Amino acid sequence: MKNAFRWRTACILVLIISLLYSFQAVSSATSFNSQLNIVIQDVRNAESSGANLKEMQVMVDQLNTVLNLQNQIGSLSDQDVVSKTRLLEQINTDLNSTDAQAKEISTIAAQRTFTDHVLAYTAALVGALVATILYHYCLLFWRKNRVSRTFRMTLAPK
Amino acid sequence: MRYKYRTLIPIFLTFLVAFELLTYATIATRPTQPFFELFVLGSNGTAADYFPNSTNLAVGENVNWTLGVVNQMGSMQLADIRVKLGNETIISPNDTQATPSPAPLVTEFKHFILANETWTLPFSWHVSNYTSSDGRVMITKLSINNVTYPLQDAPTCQTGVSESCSFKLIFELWTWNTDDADFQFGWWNGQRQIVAWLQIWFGLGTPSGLK
Repeated sequence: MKNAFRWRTACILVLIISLLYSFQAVSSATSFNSQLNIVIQDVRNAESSGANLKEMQVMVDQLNTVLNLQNQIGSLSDQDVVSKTRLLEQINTDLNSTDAQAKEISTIAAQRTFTDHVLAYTAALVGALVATILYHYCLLFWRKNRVSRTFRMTLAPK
Repeated sequence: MRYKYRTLIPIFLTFLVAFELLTYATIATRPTQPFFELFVLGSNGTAADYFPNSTNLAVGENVNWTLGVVNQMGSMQLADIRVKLGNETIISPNDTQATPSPAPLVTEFKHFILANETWTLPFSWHVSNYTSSDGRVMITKLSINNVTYPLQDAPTCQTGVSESCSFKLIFELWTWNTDDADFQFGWWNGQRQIVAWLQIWFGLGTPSGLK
């Protein structure tokens, strides 16, 4: 009777532990996905703010490193808890670092893009001014020559 | 007639409008149709010579392909190529309904791709092992890029019907959807879901003589 009770308790305990473990695994995957999603959104924000190819390449390389680390976790056995924990910490650190970098680049790139746009529109204004001055002097030159051309006119018999 | 500087004002304004419009046209981003390209190349890096001898493979006979994805989405993307093993009865992905194939997944390759970038990866594979019982052949181990994948619930094919037994490798392109925080089959272009997939048939038969 006692043995049966112990056996049943042990079975329930194993069941609870395995359920907890599977729940932890599922929540860990969901947490990774949501964390990755935030980083992807921030990197895309940086890109739309005007981050250049070099800046984007650095962030994409870091994200690909995270994917490699995740692949390494997938290839580890369930017993290799220490390595898994170490890799998870590394992934977490890399994702946080990339996210911080993306936010920083986003701010810098937005400022740079704004400055570039202001400069481009100002250059158009200067261009219009230069074109008007050129037009003015061309007109003056043409008028001056028209007078001299008039005085140089001769009548040629047919 | 005396020339007046006041006449330059409309000229300047005309130039200004023209130049500013030109600047805007140069700076403004043009709307383009976003898309991905998925390709599989043969051993020579061309769309030919996919198999060393014939499409009928022997166990352990190595096949070298190159998989590639071109990102024309206009932004950085996370792509996932899912490799599935199918047979003659398993349906392929559906383009109109944008549904993936129900074939079992063998492996997947994920990678972040920059805008206008092409991601290529070698895909070297061979059938490592198979079982044959009651006239049905089942691939139990597939080796891809020096990693052996044991296959459970793998599709089977009937032997004796023809010279060889036909299987197909299906390559599906999945992309990251930030709204769902997960991978989706294909990608969205406005309200339309577009998918990209490829499949290559191969036989498992002669010269190993599966009959």
